[in-house]
Parts: sequence; structure tokens; C-alpha cells
Amino acid sequence: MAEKDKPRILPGDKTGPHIVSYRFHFGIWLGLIILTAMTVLVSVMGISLIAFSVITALFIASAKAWVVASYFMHLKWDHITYRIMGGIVMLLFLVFIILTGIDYLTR
Amino acid sequence: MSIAASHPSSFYADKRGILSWIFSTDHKRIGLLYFYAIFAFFLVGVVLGLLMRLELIAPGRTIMEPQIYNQVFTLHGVIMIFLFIIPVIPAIFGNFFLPIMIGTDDVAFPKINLLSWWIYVIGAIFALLTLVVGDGPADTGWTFYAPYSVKTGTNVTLAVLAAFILGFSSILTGLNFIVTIHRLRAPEMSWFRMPLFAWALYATSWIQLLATPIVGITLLMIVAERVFGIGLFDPALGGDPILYQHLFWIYSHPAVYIMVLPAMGIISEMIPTFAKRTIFGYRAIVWSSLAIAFIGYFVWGHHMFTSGMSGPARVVFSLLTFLVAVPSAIKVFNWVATLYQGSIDVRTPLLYTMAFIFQFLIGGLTGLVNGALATDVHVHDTYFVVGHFHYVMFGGTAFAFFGAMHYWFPKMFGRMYNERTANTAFTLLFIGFNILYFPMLVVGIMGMPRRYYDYLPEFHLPNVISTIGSWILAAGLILMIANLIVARRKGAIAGRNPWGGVTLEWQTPSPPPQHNFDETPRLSEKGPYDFDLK
Amino acid sequence: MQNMVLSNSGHLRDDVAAKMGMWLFLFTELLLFGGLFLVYTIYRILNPEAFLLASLELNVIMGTVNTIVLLTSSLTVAMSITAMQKGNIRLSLILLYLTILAAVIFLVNKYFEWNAKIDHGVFPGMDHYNTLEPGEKLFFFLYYFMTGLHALHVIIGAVFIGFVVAFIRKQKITPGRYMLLENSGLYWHLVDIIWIFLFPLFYLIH
Repeated sequence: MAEKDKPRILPGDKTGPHIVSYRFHFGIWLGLIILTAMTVLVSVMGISLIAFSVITALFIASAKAWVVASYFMHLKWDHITYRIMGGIVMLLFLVFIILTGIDYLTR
Repeated sequence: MSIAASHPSSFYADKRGILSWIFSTDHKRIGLLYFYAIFAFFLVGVVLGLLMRLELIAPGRTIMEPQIYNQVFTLHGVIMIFLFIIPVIPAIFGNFFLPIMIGTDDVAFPKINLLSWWIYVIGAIFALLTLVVGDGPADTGWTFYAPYSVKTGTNVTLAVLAAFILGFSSILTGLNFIVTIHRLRAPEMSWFRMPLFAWALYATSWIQLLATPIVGITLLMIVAERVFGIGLFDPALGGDPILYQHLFWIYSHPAVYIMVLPAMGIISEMIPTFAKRTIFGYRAIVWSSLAIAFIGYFVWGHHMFTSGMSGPARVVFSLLTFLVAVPSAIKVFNWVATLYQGSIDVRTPLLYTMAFIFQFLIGGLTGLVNGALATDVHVHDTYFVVGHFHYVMFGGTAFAFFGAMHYWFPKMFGRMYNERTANTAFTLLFIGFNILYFPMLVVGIMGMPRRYYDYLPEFHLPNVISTIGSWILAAGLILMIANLIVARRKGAIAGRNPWGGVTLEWQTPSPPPQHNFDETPRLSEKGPYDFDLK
Repeated sequence: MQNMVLSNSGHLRDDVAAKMGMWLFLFTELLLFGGLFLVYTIYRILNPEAFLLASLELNVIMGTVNTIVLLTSSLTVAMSITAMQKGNIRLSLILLYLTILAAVIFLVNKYFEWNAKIDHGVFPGMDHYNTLEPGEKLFFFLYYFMTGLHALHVIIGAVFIGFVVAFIRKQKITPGRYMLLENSGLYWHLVDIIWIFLFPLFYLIH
């Protein structure tokens, strides 16, 4: 490999690829399918444990998104910077919803 | 391009011809491309502003019809906001100086950098097309408030698309800078040895990155509404126009920090250089930049106090708004404290710095009047607001921009301008600016509403004074530009470090070589403003 | 002298920078859809019954099938990266072809779904649409706008992966340098995540 093609490594960088096995990926996929089945069943059969089925649906969706981000997108093994950045983005979005919601819920 | 290049290794000498510029991935050339494009649009915006002032010199019709006036102020707003003041400092000085100041040779993604310039050009073309296509430029104001923006026959669709495209350019610049600062700092430059301008750009870039998509999608919804005729924001069809205002200001309030934070960064650079003293409270300035960027996301509602938002929401937004004043004030205290007991060298850039602090103070304090719920109800949509944001945007950001132009001109072009002429131009600009905008605060309090081409006779005198101020300001601008154009061709050779600055850009030749440095830059362990470093 | 290259030059290979750039771009995409989710939330607060009524017209089975298709494609693209890391280029390519196939299935399914709606005249400007309550109109407009924008992202993602396939074949992406593959994977997962939220919000309000 030519000198200029070597990837830059700064202190604190994670070095070397983190290889996730096929089997592990498959397990994650299975979990996601189960969660999908759950959310469909809860909705179609109307068996949500709490009154607002939308809360249940959003909770399951968030869990699925978290699984995809952590395992398929390798966030769990990446540098913590990405998780902090992602957390701030989520926080901002929540604040947008809450502050706008305050307006509409108190009219 | 014929240029004041003074030495054979300068980046101007590297390649020649127009193509070597418009397809260059060199951050310095892209910075200059932005410089010429943005400055051209600034002048267009100035001319539109002068026309508006001329119309307002007397009550009733003076030089234009009401409809033309509506279109002129919209175009003035769209050009000044989206084409000038949002990109001006990050795209010009950020591009040119950020890599040099952190000791590297380019941004992290040079090709994306070029792409963002081209997207800017395409967006600008869209904005200009509104002039010639269809029923003329938009007459909605730069905010494109629904439902009027959905119903008017003027060319809102194109104007909105222009803003959408320009937002994309802004996002890419921000993305590039964040990665550049994370990855390309000089090996010994830890986060807290970074110059404050780089910190300001870092905070700004996060706003560009995270706020712009919201306005992008909002503007797309306006386009969809116009094309498909559905009532997303039209109360007659079940939509809610206030929701449009929420979405618009979720971006556009943080956007005012895109405009002012880089200006504050420039001030934080110029003050140590001309006080010959390390900056007072480096970390406080860093954290206040980040705090402004963060809190800036939560205060958008103060633009909507009179538009029908609920009472509790108005109180919440008013309280949050006061929080932003704290970090801004911290900065001003630190700048003044840096000057205290410094060996102050009063040169042209420092004059602009002083004007910035003075005018930003007026702009900031009148901002509190607008942010306080009780007083805003009275001054909302009056000339008080127009005066306030011109004090912040023109008196603040644009004066910092002029200051930066004079501060870094010798570095960018390798030549020095006539300082006496530059100081005269500054004096005209400073006097003209305050004569132009201070009367607006007064007539605003008296009750003159904004965005009308006409007014009651009792507002006549302040408006005449204001218009006269606009002429003085224009004279100052012309003198400043002429001085710099002459300097670019005939000025004395500036040398590496005409001001005795200590940040890394002063360690390299003027203009810098293609790879920015001819020797590995030296850093002080005591931070970026160590005036004992020899 | 002019040709001195700094160790921190911006022109050198930097995989971490490429990945960080991709993540930042994904954040902007998230907030782009975030604006739409905000509009959806507010209008749902304002029109709860109309949204419920309108959502009953959507086909849960088709939505579920598409969810499973996208989740599976996320699996294939993630496994394709594993294959590349292990040096199995053939398997990596096969898994990418499967991902593109999934994208096509998703879009065909979406086409039939939209077509059925438009046949019933439920599209802005059509007869049946014009007779709906304002709240239902908002629901359907948001449905078309959000799933349409999402479908556009599916197309972009598939084209992106198509380019990655071409680069792998030209050996521009190798087991020693596969950042572009990883970035296309990140983009594809984001498309999946957005759908994970679109699905319950439009199809499962019962």
C-alpha cells in the first residue's frame, strides 16, 4: 500500500475493523421481525396494555430504530462521539416537538 | 486573473485561467469565488435598500407603486439573508482561513467544498430568475408566510426553491467545517488551543447542519401546496398557518446565530491582535459560542408573540429568550476586558471592531425589548424591529465583515491598502449607519409599522433623516470599495505579518502558497494568543 | 518547498472523516423528515378522529410486507460489509444485489399501493379526495408527501448501492478500503429507520 493510501489514524481513533458475524446479524434481524409482528398484532387486535396505542407503537418503533442504529449501523462499537452527536440531534428534535406541542396543547 | 501576487509560490501563481478558478478545489480559491459572488449580491441588496429609503423620504408615492415596493423589500430580504449574510463569513473567511488557522492545507472534503459553491451559484440563479420569469419577484417578504405565499400570483415557487437550494449549500459548508475541525487540526493543536474564529465556525456549522433541513422541508411543503392546491397551511382548507410560522422560525431563529456567531469569532481574533494581549477568558468565549448555538434552537417562538400562539407558550419562549442574552453578554465583557491594559494599536480593523461592539450592544439590548413579551406586543411589526435587526445584522455582522476584510486583506492579496482612506471610509460608514438606523428605533416606538410604502405625516422628519443617512452610508461603501480595489493593484507589499498577529495565518507568506505553509507551523503551549511566542 | 505535505493534510485518505461526514449528512436527513413528523404530530393532535378514519383506508398487509422487505434488506447490506471485511467479495456482491432487489420489491409494492388509492380518487385534486373532511385531506396529503419522499430516498439509496457494486467490480472498493460500502450501508439503514417510524404512524392507528 502506498504511503498516501494509508488511512489517517489520530490518537483516540478506533483502529482495525470491527467484524460482526453473520450469525449475530441474523439474530438482530430476527429480533426486529419479532418486534414488527408485535406492533402489528397490538394494533390490529387492539390489545395495547395502555390506553394510547400510539404510545405503544412509538415505543416499539423507537426500540427497533435503536437496534438498527446500535447493531446494523455499528454505533455500539463506534467512537462515542457519534453517540453524543446522535443524542444531541434526538434531543433537539424532542424539544422542537415539545415546545411546539406546548403551544397547541394550551390554546 | 491579474492579481497582486507578490511571490512566485503564491496560490495565485499555481494555475491560471478562469477554469482553474471555477473548478478549483483549493479552499482559498473557493473562498475568493464566494467573496466575489457574495459581495456582488451584497451590492444589489444595498441598491434595493437605497431605493426603499428613497421611496420613504416622503409620505405617499415617491418613486414606486406599492406592489413594486412589496417586491423590492422581499427581494432585498431574500438577497441579504440567503445570498449575503448567511454565507458571508463562513463561506468567504471560513473557507479561506479556517484550514490555515488550524494549520492544515485544505478542508476535509475539497470536492464537496467546490460543489457547495456551485450549488450556491445555482440557487442564486433561481433567485434572479424570479425577476424575469412569470409575474415578477415574490411580494411576501423574505419569510414567505402562509397562506399569502400560497395564494399570491407572484413568483414565490422559484424564490422558495432558491432558498431551498441555498440551504443545501449552507449544509455542505457546515458539514465540511465540522469534519475539518475534528480531523485536520495541526498535531499539537488540541481543542482548547484552537483560535476562537475556528470555535465560532464550529458552533455555527452545527446550526447550519441541524437547523437548515427544517426550513428546507418547510419550503418544499409551500411548493407542494402551490402545485397541488392542498391546504396544509391554509385555514380555509383545514390547515394551520401558525404551524408554518413555527417551522419557519425553528430554522430562521437559529439562522440569526449563523449570521452573528462567525462575526463574534472575527472580533475575538482582531481584539487580541490590536491589544497585543492574550484574549481574556478564552474558555468562557468558547463555551458561550456553544451555548449560543444550543440555546438558539429553543427561542424561535419570540417571533410569533402576536400571531395567535397560546399564552403559556409565549411566556415559555420569552423566558428562554432571555437566556440567550447571557452568553452574548459574556463575550462583550471578555472583549472589553481584553482591551483593558492592552497596548492598543488603533488601526482600521480595530475601528470596525469598536463599531461592532457599540452597535451590537444597541442591537442586543433592543433585542431584549423585543424578546420581552409585554413590550414586544407594542413594538412588534414596527420600525423598532427593523432598526433592531439592522443594528445586529448590519451594525454587527456586516461591520465585522468589513473589519475582517481590512484585517485579512494583506494576507489574501499580499498588499496593503491606504489606511487613511480606509479610516475615512469607516467614519462615513459609522456615521451613515447610525443616522440611517437610529431614527428607525424612534419611529418604531412612535408606532410606525414596517413593510408599508407609505406612512403618516408625523413620521416625516425621522424618515428624511434616515434616508440622508443611507446616502452617507453609500458614500462610505463606495470609498471603502474603491480603496480596496486600488490597493489590490497598487498597494505596498504587505509582508507576512503586518499587524503582529500570532495565529497561524500570520506565519505563512502573503498571499499563502498553494499548500498554505512553507514550513511546519509553530504552536505555543499557552494557547493561540501567546504574544510572547517568538 | 511549495510541495511540502503536512501530516494533517486534507488530501490524504481519512476513513474516519468519511464516516463522520456521512453521519452528519444522516443527521440532516433525520431532521428533514423531523420537520414532517412535527407537522404530522400537530395535525394529529388537532384532528384525532379524522386521522383514525383515514388511516383505516390504508392496507396494513402491504405496509407490513414492505416493513419486512426493508428490514431484510438492512440485514443483507450489513452482512455484505461483514463479507467484505472477511475478504469474500463474491458474497458481498450477491448480498448487495439482494439489497437492490429488495429496494425494487419495496417500490413495486408502493406503486400498487398508491395506484389503488389513486383509482379510488384519493389524491389531491381528485373527486373522492375533494369530498373528504379537512383532517382526512391533511392525513392523505402527509401520507403521499412523506411516503413519497421516503420512496425517493429508497431510489437514491439503491442507486448509491448500484455505484458501490460498480466500484467493487472495478476493484476501487477492496477489503482494504471499503469506506464507501460502509457509508452506503449507513444511508440504507437510515432509510430503514425512517420507514420504521412511518409504518406505525400511518398504518397502525387503530
